[in-house]
Amino acid sequence: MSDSSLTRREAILGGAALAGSGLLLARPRAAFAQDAGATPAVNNAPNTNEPAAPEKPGTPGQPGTDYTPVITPDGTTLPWKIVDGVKVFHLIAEEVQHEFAPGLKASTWGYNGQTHGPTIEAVEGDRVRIYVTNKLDAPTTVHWHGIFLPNGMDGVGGLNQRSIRKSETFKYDFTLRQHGTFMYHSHHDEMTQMGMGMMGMIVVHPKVGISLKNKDEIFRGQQFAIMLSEWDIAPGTSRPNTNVMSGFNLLTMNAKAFPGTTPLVARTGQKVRLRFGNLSAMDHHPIHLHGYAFHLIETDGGVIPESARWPMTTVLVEVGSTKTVEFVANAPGDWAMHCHMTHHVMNQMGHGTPNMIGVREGKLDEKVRKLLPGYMTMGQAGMGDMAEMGMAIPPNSIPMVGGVGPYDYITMGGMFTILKVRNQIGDDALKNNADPGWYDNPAGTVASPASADELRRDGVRV
Amino acid sequence: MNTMLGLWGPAADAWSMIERLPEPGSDTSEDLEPDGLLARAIDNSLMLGATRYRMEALADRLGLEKSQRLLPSFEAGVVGERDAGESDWLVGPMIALPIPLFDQGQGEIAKATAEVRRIQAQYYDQAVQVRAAVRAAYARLESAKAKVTYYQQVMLPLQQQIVDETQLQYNAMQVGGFQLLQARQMQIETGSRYLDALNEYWRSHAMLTAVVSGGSAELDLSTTAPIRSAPAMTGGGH
Repeated sequence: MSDSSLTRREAILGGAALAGSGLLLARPRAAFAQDAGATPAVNNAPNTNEPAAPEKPGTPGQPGTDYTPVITPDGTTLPWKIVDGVKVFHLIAEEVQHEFAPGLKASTWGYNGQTHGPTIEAVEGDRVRIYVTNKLDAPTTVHWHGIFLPNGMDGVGGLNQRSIRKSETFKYDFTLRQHGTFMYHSHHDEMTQMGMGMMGMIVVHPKVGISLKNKDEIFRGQQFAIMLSEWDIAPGTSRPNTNVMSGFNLLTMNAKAFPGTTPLVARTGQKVRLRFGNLSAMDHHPIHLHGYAFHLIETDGGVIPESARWPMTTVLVEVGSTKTVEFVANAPGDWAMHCHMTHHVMNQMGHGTPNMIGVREGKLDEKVRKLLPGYMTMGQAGMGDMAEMGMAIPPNSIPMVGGVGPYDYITMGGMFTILKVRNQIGDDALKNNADPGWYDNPAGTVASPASADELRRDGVRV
Repeated sequence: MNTMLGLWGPAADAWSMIERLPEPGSDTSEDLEPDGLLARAIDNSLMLGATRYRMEALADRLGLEKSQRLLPSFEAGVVGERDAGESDWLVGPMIALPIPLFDQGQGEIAKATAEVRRIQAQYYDQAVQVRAAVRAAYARLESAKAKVTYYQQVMLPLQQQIVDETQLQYNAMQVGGFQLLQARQMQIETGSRYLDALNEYWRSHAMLTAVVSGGSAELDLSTTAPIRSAPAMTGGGH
């Protein structure tokens, strides 16, 4: 800041630093921290290129005391240890045998035996050192999406570093100066490597003394990290085709397609924070939650001032962005949450078939069966009953399959999961996100066939 | 068939058609080793037999010529004469003796020797032709057999697999009914081409058998026309 030629950005930052200097002498970096209540500067990136080494790390944040751990449904949180005040993580890029849903497995790429990689969880102000070992045949790098860090830690292969070759281990070293929802992903041959699943979520919790005023402000509700992505896996094959540009046939939440997705569990009255990230190759995802309205509170760019938030039921998570929404789970039930693009809730849908809606097959089936004994005309009334027909389909495929629900077959797949809110639910069950089973709707609160008397009473003619 | 075989009487009723031809190559008793085939074809060739007899007959004649070469051609006989107007026959013995002064039979011998050599050369020529015919017929049979085997082991199972997989893809609504029918159509066309290959195999087999059994070496080795030509592949949907 002592440079005489101040840029506009430095002037803003300098102003912020001055404002907070009295309080934050011990933590010079914290001057750039976000304040959940106040309007943050739009361009709040600090000068991250100062040498990182001389900086003395602060006290690393601890789960429970400093934050409520985030739950990654169908995923895990990356373990860490503290070495000289630095949180040390280790990511291993490697091939993974991944199950998208019962009946569909594929060879994908990921980290630490998982696709997607484990969620990296840390606290604002933490000094982190992330080792990345490459066990793939291809070179790779890791980009820390949305994180303010020294330019040489940004992970763009060729631009900020040379790529990590097979069997090499690189280290990334930086201090977390923000809080919020971020992502990490390969930034080398992205189309292939991200198409194969090389991505994960980063959740940085706000810290008391930096962005939070006191312990009471620590979020104590349920929070979930959900990565949205898309794949192309032809029925009968077991490798994603990363060459496609449109017509992806498998849309996933945390690399699971319904009925493979694990439901989100909350107790009635709890605050719930959903942290979405989207690293799909080519598609944005409007994620819609039934039964609630929520506020969009953060993006990967920072906190949205409360005055600027508005209620919504669908949040558009664009490619390469994160969206954090919050609501109070005050309505018990099994509430659907899904991408509202209807083709994104189909599994391995074929898009090249003739339109069969309304076709009357007449004696066609009989005639064709002389040539092909297994033939049957399909799709005349849509695709809702496809999964239940039980026809032989290619091995290792779940074409359009939904899942069995409490009342009937759920005719959705892909980016579909269920928020399960219950009055009675144990602390351990909450912490482990344990599925409480189907909601038992109170009598008289379920849609049911209309009786003749009811029709007559209300003058409805059918 | 009887006309073609030149059969009549009881023989015309004595043969019957085989219900189904055996699988190519399945008859292990059949000796189709090329060396054995060549020897048998040479032994059995009617054309070569005829040439050999002609050569032997000529050689015999040459031997006779040689034996008579210094012996004067002696002619003896009885000659009867009766002059016109006379009633009595004059009968007396006749002896003709060539004097071997200028003609010692060299011309006749040279001619006969040359003739023997010519037929000998013809014999060799025909033997070459027979062997060539055997080899050609054998090569054609082997090629036909390879084609039949390829259809049996690769093409037919592959087409069946394509139909099965397409049926699965159809069930999974990845392809439409037209594509499923197209897969079946391709399978039927392949079956038809397999029958053509079988036809070619048995024609080749018959030709080889004929030439090995002594038939004409001047075989028509041009490709036999298939029973039916493969239907043109359709572009589909137009």
